[in-house]
Amino acid sequence: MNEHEEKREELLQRLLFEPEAESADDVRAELAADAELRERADGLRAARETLKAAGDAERDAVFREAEGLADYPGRERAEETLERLTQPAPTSPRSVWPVVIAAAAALLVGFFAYRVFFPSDEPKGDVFVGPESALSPSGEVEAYGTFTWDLPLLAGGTYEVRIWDDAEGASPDPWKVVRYLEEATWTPEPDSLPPRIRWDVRALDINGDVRASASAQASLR
Amino acid sequence: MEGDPESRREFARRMDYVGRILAVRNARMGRPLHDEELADLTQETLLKIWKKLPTYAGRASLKTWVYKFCYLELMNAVRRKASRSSKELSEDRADVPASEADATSEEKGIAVYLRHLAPREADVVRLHHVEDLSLPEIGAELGISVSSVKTHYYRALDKLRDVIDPRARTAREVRE
Repeated sequence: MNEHEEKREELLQRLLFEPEAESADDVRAELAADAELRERADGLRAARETLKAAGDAERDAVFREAEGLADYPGRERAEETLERLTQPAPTSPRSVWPVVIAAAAALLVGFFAYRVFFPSDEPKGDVFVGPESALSPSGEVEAYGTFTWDLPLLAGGTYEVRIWDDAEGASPDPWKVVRYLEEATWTPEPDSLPPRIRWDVRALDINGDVRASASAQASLR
Repeated sequence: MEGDPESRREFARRMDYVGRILAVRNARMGRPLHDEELADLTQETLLKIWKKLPTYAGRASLKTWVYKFCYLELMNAVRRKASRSSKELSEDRADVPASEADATSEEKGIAVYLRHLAPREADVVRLHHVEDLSLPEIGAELGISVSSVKTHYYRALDKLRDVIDPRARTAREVRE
């Protein structure tokens, strides 16, 4: 490619990717002086428009097919989620705020006063993490049975259980992930889990953010 | 949308597209995800769209934005599944990022043009014009720089000039 052709290529790419190039003086001068360049630029624009139309048509075909579907996997759950997501947030009357703020301030003062006079000797921990003792199965068990936990769940939130194979050399990826549980219980298929497991449960809010979690280890006798 | 029941209903109606689009795209790909996985993906995609909604700039229609989102989420899910289990999905399918999806259905429409292009050029054109990805998004999806994306796209259009307007080729051949 000689220098002239290189310059042409560069100019054509500018026309393609820089919307303002069309009105630049140097580009306009080049286009006015070079019929072949104009022809190529027109050809590129035509190709782009044709592809855009073809792409739009293909997307529309998918939309039409999608609209025609009588049902799809997970529809019921999706509708419930949409219902939850689009519910208006509860609002409080404006006049209540001063009372709420005053009550919160009084509680805080009371709490700090209590801590000053009666310091706690309990270890400090993450308030969001649930107690391991509330998890089942935990430790050595005859069978895993039903998994249960005791974690608070915010309105519209769900639980997510993750189970890892705890054998030496096992994959670091979860063996199984169970999502969108609305009750604090889950029962696996019999004999579907490894002999030694490590598992956790996470309470997610409506946006999928983790609000509480707890974990345990269990193994079959 | 807040406080307006009609807007909320309309939003919910539009978001009903998510599960539908995922189901159609999955079917067109030869069903790499089974129903339970697809149901989970629909749920995850809905939540992600809800979280990302404030970033929706209105450049494309909401429907097209959702379509793009569904494409990216579906491809990520398929790749994750392929990396977990080579039994369920062949490796070559997982390695090809863009045009593998609807390859079997590409007998008409944009496929007429894509068959004239090198695979990477076809990927770029498909991602840009069908999936509505921007050039930087295409770069991220294909793992190449934006300037490479531009080069592939330019070459693709240059090749397609002759396909789209054969008179241009004839005129050029006469000149040469």
